[in-house]
Amino acid sequence: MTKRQTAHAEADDAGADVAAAGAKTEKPAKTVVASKRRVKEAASASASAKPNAPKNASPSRAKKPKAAGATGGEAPVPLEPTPDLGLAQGRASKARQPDMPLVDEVLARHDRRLPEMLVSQLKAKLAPLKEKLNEEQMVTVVEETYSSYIKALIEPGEAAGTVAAQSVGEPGTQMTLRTFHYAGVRELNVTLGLPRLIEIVDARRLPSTPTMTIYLDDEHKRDLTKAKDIASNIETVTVENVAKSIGYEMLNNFTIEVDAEMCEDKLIDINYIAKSIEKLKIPGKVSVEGNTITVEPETTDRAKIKRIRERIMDLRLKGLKGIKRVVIEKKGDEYLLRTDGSNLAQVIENVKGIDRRKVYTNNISEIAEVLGIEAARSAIIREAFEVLDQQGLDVDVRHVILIADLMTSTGKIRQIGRHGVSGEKSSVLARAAFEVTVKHLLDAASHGEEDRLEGVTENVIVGQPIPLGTGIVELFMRFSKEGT
Amino acid sequence: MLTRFERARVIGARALQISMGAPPIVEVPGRTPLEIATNELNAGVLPMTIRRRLPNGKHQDIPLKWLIKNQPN
Repeated sequence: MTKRQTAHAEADDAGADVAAAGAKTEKPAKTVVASKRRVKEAASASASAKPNAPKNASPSRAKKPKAAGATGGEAPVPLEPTPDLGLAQGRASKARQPDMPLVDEVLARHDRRLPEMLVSQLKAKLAPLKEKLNEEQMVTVVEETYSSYIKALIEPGEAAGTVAAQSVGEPGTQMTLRTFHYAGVRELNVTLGLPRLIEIVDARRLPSTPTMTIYLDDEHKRDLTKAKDIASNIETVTVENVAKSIGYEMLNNFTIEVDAEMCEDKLIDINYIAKSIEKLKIPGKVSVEGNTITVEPETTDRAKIKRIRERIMDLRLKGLKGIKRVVIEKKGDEYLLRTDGSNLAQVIENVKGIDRRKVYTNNISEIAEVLGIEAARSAIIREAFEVLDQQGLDVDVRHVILIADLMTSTGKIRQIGRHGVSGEKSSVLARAAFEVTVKHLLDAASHGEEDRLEGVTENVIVGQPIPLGTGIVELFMRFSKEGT
Repeated sequence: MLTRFERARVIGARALQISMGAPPIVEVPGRTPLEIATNELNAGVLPMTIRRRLPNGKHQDIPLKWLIKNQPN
């Protein structure tokens, strides 16, 4: 009967929408923690129960590894070890899983399977205790783990989405009072707090402060000069950046005096600048004299010359599009690059000397484009969770995961709001309840739309019991063959 | 296993019947309809079936008796 979990709760607003997805979501993260504690208690309890068991039989006090830290992330997006997002899968740990037939045997007695990750962690925890626990105690530990997992599962009919929305929304109200929009990470500004959270949930194509974190490969990461080399290859240098002054000569020409020091610093040759300007194919002449480049366009139209000058000033001589600045940071004994501006595709494809697998950007739509929707989902979870975590708000990741799932379940990122989740609901009445009621009703009427009355909102409007909680239970007074 | 929603719904439905005069199925202790209904459920004698639906639209009718059998206590 376990597989018959009912889960047909459907749409309300942003919150209740999540319910459908949520009803079938099993919750790994907390369970692991909970059951671990259980394991510990059970183990120490049973150990002390046996008089001849060594006094220190309770599991070692050594720091336990973070629940998922060992297994790493699931998507190409690198997950720094700090936030445990519950994304880890059992895959990696399976190889190292100790052979514990007893555990499998006990679990096989139950009709519900535990997630593989949990099983392998349980085995890893129990393996060193083989000597200290007798079979009965071992079985007790496994049984306890199983039952606390079952207890932690969410029941079909639970309004998981509403709970998630509330759990993220309430801390959000605390943030407004406590945050400042910007927190300086060295010289770089990164949007944090509520503005950032809104940005994530709105699925903006361009975050207000796009930034990348680029890790270097083994060859480059310990060498500052090599790191600087890579940084200078990425950082955009425009003509304006290396110009000392711009002279306005006669009618139809102007000069750019190049800052030689700057050029040297950025490893740019003045002739290269001139050549790049020529490549713009502006009708006219470009000549170099000492540290000065003279541009003589054919036209004498002032406005046109002004436009040409602006184009030249913005001409990118070096670096990747969009990356305005690069800062080298030392983390432990390795160097890494943080950038102002983001260009994931180019960095992954063209930059040498970096660790491609670890490149990270906070631009979620870029991640979706380059690495796919699953990566974007991970990124949403990570970004949103980090914002909340940074504010000291203790929100369970699974709420955030649910929101990320909702945003990405169609294969493209949808915002939570008018142009996304709320606006694309299948039910006419639910949409009408959200915004511009009359327009939605009129459109629906003229298109002959139909409402299946599957969600919460629709049924509230119609005056029926809603499909949530006890309302989701379908009860029959019936004498079936097997039943009474 | 019954979910807590199913349990509430079953007890509620049965208590309503009893309060309107339905005779208890077995001799069970209890003064109020609610108590009687709860006891009936726990005794596993209610002739009811729960329809559980999957997100894909399929459903399965499960007799209450089955669900009450492996109730963890």
